[in-house]
Amino acid sequence: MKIKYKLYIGSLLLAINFLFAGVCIWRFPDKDIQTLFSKATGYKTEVLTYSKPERVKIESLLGAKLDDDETQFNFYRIYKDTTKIGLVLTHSVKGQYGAIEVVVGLGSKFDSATKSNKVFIKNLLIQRDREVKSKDLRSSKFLDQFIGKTVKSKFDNITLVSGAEKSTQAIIFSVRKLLIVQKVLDQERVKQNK
Amino acid sequence: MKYRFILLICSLLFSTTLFGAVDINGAIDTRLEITDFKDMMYSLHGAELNIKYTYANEGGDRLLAFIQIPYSTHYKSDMFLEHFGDAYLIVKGSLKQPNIRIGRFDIPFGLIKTFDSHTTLLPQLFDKSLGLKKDIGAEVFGFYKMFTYDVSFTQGFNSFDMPRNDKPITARIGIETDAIKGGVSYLNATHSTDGEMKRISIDFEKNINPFVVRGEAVLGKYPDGKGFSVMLDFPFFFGIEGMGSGLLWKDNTNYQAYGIELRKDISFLTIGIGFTQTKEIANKNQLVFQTIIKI
Repeated sequence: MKIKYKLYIGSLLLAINFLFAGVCIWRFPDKDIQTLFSKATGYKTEVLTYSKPERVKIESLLGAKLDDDETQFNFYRIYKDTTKIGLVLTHSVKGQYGAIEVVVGLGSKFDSATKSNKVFIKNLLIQRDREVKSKDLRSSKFLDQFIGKTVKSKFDNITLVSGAEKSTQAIIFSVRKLLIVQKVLDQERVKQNK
Repeated sequence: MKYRFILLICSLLFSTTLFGAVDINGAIDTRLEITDFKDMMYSLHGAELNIKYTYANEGGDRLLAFIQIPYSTHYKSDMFLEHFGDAYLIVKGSLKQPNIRIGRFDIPFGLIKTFDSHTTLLPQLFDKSLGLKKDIGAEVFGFYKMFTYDVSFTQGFNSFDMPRNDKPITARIGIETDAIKGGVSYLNATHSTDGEMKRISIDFEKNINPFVVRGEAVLGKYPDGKGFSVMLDFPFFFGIEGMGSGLLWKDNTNYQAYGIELRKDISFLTIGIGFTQTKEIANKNQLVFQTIIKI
């Protein structure tokens, strides 16, 4: 009987080793989607993993290593009926008093200069945190500073929340990471497929 | 039978990687339990693999399948299937429409609905007030503005191995805002020996950052009982998270439990330590060292 159990555990561990993944879940998609994309009628979940060169590229653009458990990213494509109108990405980052979970809504518009779609932040929200300055971090005064930013934007003009500088920096890092992940795993793959 | 099942699961795992919307994760939870400072037991408390598959049509996600495959060294071989964790299908309505869940899931009663007690070392009120957490059946759930609603119709307690066919109907109406989360729940089950079991609960969760306070009060008949629980999440030093709890349940005995746990996440690893004191007929002290490897 013990052998059977060992076989069972072995199978689980083997499968786990091949397939491990750490994903920040979108806790309230049906509710948040109203805030992020008021015209949305649905969303499709995609789970994207990256190749070694893609990881190197993400880390080089970010200037930091991906977390050990960041082996895949959930992409939530937002639809109005059958038309794609945006994308939502989520990320969990360590704040001053535990994890801060960021939900970013991305839109895109055609850029005639580069003759390609430019992806920008349409809206964002904090879905979970335990920060003492939570109210300020969730305020539109703070979060609106991110709207319109693209992967090429500078973030050093964001006014930090006083008394929560570490957490503000963590949110900025999180948003930048998601923009870079979108660029490498989504935009560049589409370009390559063309 | 079991080998075929394992083979099927492994095949499923590898085949699902070929498709997009599959999310797989797992955990291995080992514990060293020291009871009354003398009896020591080391066990693989739980190992689990969670597989989530999402099917979408042109308009968006429509079907979500979730299966949790657990294992523990304290399972008996003939109880393989009985110890399944969650295993359900969610038929997703359009946005703002109700969703339907079919399978085995956490019943929507009190803090079971809002607090994930999966790996906590602290005793939970539902163990005493309901005697169940998961059941097989169907659930309708959704939200309207800031309100949430859940209604489930399930088979009955201990449903996999010893169906008692109590057929509990459970309902919860909740409110979720940035300021507070809470709800009122009701459960009614036709108990074969004690008549109609009824339970009503009020639960809440409030962030007083950096603390989180949550609590629940339950009142019930057949068997009669009443009780409450309170929990406090707090940040400790060096990124260590803490939680303290106290619960009381009065039926024909008086059950009291107090506890504290500390845990630290280090990459894939969570290290925890918990101490609980329970008072029922005799006092029991338990110190637990926990290691969770997250996958």
